[in-house]
Amino acid sequence: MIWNISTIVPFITFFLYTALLVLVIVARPQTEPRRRFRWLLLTMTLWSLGAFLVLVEYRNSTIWMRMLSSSAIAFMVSAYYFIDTILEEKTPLSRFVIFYGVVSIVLALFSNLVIVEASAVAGELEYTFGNFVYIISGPSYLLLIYSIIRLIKSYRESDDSNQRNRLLYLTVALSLIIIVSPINFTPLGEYPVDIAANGLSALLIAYSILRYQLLDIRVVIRQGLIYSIPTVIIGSAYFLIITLALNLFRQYSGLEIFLLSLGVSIVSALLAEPFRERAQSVIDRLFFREKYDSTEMLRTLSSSVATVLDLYKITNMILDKVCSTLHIPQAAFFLRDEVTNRFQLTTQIGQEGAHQIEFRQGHPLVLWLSSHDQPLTKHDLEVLPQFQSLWRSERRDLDDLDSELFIPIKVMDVLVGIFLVGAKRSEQAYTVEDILTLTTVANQTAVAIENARLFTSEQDRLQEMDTLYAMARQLVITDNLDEVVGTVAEHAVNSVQTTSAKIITREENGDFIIRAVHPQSVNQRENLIGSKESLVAEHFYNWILQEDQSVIIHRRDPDLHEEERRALFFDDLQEICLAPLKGVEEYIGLLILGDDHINDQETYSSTKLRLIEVISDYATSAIQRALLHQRLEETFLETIIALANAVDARDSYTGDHSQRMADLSTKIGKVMGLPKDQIEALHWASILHDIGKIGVPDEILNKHGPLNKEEWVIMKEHPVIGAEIVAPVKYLEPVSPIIRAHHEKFDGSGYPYGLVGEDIPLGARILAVVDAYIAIRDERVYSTSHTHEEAIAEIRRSSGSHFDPEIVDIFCKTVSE
Amino acid sequence: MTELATLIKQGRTDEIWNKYCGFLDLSIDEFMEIQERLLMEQINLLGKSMMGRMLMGDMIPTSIDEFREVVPLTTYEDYLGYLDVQREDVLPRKPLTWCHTSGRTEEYKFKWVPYTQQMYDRLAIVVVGAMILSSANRKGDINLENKDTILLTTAPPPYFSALVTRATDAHADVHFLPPLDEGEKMGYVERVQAGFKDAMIKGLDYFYGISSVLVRIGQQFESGGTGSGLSKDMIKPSLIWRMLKGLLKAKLSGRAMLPKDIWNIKGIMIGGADSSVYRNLVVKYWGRQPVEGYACTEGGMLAIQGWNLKDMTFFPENDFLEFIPDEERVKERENPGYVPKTVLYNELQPGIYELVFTNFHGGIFTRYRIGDLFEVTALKDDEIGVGLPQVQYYSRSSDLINLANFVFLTEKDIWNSMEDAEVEYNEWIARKEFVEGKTFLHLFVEADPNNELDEDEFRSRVKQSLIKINSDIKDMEEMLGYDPLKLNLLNPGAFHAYMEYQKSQGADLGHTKPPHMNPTKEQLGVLIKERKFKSD
Repeated sequence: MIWNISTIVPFITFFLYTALLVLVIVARPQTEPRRRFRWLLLTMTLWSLGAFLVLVEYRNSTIWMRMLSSSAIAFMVSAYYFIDTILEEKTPLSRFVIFYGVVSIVLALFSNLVIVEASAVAGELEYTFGNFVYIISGPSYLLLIYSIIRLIKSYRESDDSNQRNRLLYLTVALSLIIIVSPINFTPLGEYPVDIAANGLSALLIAYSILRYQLLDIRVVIRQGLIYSIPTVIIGSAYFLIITLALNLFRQYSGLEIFLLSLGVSIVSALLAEPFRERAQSVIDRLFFREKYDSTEMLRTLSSSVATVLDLYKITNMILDKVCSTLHIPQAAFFLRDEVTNRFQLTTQIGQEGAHQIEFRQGHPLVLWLSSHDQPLTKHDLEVLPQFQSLWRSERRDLDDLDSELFIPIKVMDVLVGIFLVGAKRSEQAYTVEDILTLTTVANQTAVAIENARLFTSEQDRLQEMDTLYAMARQLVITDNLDEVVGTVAEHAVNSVQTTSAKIITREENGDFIIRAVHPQSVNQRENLIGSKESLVAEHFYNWILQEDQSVIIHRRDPDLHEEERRALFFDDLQEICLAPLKGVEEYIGLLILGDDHINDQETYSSTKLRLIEVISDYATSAIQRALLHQRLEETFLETIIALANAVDARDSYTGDHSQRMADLSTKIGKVMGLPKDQIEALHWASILHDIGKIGVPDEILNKHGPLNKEEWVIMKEHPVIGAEIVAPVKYLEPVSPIIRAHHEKFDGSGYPYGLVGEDIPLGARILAVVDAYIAIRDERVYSTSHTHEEAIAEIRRSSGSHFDPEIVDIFCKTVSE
Repeated sequence: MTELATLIKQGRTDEIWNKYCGFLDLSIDEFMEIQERLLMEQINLLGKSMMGRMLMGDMIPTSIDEFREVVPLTTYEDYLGYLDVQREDVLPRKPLTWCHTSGRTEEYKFKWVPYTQQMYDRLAIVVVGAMILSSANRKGDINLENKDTILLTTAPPPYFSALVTRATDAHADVHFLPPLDEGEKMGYVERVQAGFKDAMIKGLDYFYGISSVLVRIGQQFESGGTGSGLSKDMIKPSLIWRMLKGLLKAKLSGRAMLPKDIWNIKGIMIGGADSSVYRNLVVKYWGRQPVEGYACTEGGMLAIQGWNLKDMTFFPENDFLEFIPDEERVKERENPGYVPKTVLYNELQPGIYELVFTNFHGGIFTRYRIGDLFEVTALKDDEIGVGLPQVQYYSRSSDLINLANFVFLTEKDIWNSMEDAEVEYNEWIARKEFVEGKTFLHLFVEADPNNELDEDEFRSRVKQSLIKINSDIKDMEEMLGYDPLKLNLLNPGAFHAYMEYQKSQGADLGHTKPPHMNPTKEQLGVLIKERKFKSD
């Protein structure tokens, strides 16, 4: 056997084709294209074997040369059928080609019509063509050219990037064979140029398999092959070193050779390990650049996910890394909102317009991803029957998102988010490794979400406690019923994280009155406060109170009548929770929470129901206290009014003095544009201003003639006594200072404290003018009545000294009208 | 190149199967999920249209149950005044086109039906699915190829079947024979002949239409013709090769040349009441079992058989499906004011049901009673792994002949008995008649010129055949003491004369033939003109 370039080239080609053939034979499943490809590789294997055997001059070279030429024809015929299969189209020629193939192969193999004789001397091939070589072999070349044209045409028509790449490499590989084949008809045919070209074709086909998954051969095999390169290099280097060492030290004995080999092995191993690592790294970068970068990315992300708790920050970081590593212009995370259960855009790159888009629980995309672990492709949306249920608007939304992949993000098998990935900038399809990488990213995101959720959940619990604490504090400092119910409603909405709250109380007559609604902005609900609930609702509420427990009702509850649905659900509420407010002995009303979320998950979970019960207990206690207080105040007020009436009755001058004062002072207050509460205070101050006279003896109060000094001292105490009488009544809190100061004078000459100017409360200044006017107009024990003009003149006279000039002006103008 | 053509070219068979036949893999829950979602979209659309509000009332239903509770069942009469004058402003979505089916001659000539773009697109998807299923031998088996040929036998626009054909032409890279633009300008017979001529040269891969056309062609072949009127200008190598191949196959089989010898047809899709009657003949002449589907102008394509060619499965995404159980129909019959209750697809049990549907995708027919009855044969088909209820077309509800509550006969029953009776006939009609308080089934048959039987013998054979199919007839005779079958032979050419008369009166294609079941007295009058019965 002669080993030279002419024999080594066909041997390597034979080796390459044999390896490829084995690879395709073991690949599963055995599809029609693979079966055809097997034939193609078999012909090339036989061809290169023929070439090798003829060149090593193994027995009769003519037989091997004929095998070589018939294999070449067989190759071109099988290439034709292979192209037929992968392009999924049959040409009219298809049925005839097989006849041609069989006949020409038989003739080339068993007759001298193609090859007359062949011989090889020292690797140089000499052969003689038969007379029919062009007739028999020529059509096979035409067939190959035709196949290449079909490949090019299909390449142009294809819009699938993987398909285009596969076709491109096949085209180049087959073109190479056809280009170098004519060399056999020239003097250069003596050299293995065509064999080398065929070897190169084998490499191209191999590359196509490795790089673009021609025929979907498993990734693991191609990776194994590539990673074996450093091993081959190291092995070869080791072999060379040993050979060199043996040549240099021929004279050494067996033991020395053993020691030498051992030394060389140790040195080689020490040197080779860094080299192997380096070589592997280079291979990773050259052949699996994206994979290399992806691994780096995953490494970085996994360390960050464990430490960062801010979901927004971590998802942004993931998107940045993914987009830059895989060269993706757009990607986004749609994460499930804990409250609404909808999947909303959380972070995005290149998806600015997607903020309006959200996926609800029943969305086909959500349903599919919930029940599958693998990503969904854009094409699946068109193809899978489950997506026929998409609404036209939903399909438009998905088109707008223009995502290639929808990857589920799951925590404990529950879908918590969707990772949307757009097309690559290179427009190449996503490979299996890409999808694996992105799925890993989605899993890391799931971990981040779970971490953030746990953190947020703890924060929320803390917040909940804070809210309850704040509510309790706020309820303690007020006895005002309106404030109490308002506070409870507001805190209930915030703590339970629901849409709205309503508090109704049951009155003694059985009516249910709306006391508070939160938030108030929707549909001007403030108008509802104080109104009575409908009879249908009352019937329902009484039933709830009898049940003595919280009840949850869904809008779609089939047992509900339409009337009941209308009475219970306002706006877009989908679910309500009715919690009875139960006091020590009686039910005082209901706390009703409403939620407008449409989803399958229960809004009012058992945890939330416990919270609602705690709020209800607080509310019941506070409302009862406020009601009690309200009743107390009402009783006290009634007592005070009775006292005031008694004073009026003791005073000999006129019985309706207080009422007339009230009418006139509130009139002045309104003209001055005072707020409602101040006008009300003015009213009560007018009625009760002389209530302190209860402490003044009758003989002083009704004395004819001027009072002496001691009597005046007693008389001047009545504003202070009056103020102290009303002070305990919370409702009359603003009235007390007016009563106390209603005898003060603007210049400071009044009593009891001699206040000056605006130090005197406004109400008291008004009251002073009104009191004086009525006193002048009335006939009293110590003076006769005066006309209106006289009274006005008198008041104007005292303007600036006794009375506030501004109020005098307004008063005179008002009463004159 | 269409998307389908690209998928075929790239050999993405799994995706093709999923897209066009994937509905067969749905679970009943998934099926109902699609139904419910698309109904909610449709309710939403109806709520925004005048007709929708008219049908549903002011309160737009918020659930399926509410929809079924609030919206009444409708018939075409409920849409008169709008659809018959093609009012587009009252519809949920602007239609892409209108098509029609035959109406009632005496009231309105056509039932006009609007089709939106989405409904139109769905038609093509269903037809391609039918083509795939008709030529599949197992699950996932895609034999449809680009440039496959289909015989054009559908009615011209604006008939619904023409719409189906146009949609298919736009969606798939298939060739109609003759080409659509040319074929639509031809008369029906001329078009079929031109199609077969083309098929002689180009081959024939698929057929869809009514089975009687295929049978007629087969019979012509059997009697020695080719049915296509071959001419000299057609002499081409491909035709000669095809004929030689056909002759050889026929000779080897020792019989006349049949279509199956000439064409290796991939798939046959048929519909109509005669489908099951002619099934065996189609196989005999064409060498392939046809796939049977159910479609109607108002509802589009609704159901199709699986690749085992047994029972039909409904499509989930074209219409919302409801079914009136037989007992509810009985209640309605007994008390005309009674509103029958419906069940949903997932509530079906074996038995007879009347179909009620609501169009999806912006169509207008809402809870529409098409008047067709289906028999639910099974709740799943284990043979091919379909987990959805399986149905067979039973009858038109108005075509059911009820003889004294003893015997219920469908068009299919009578057709089968005519076929099994081994009598030579061309056409027939059947009527229920009352004579002196007795109920009769009266058949009027136009015998074939080859018929040698007299009227009594003819009747006797048909009766025996009818008893085989429905033994209740015999029981009825024994119980009531009279023979309930009357049969009269019509003059030769009576049906042809009827068609000519109708054409002369300006009748449309849909009204040129009398209905098989219960024709009106007027229709019968035209058919039996100048006929003197033996009994007269």
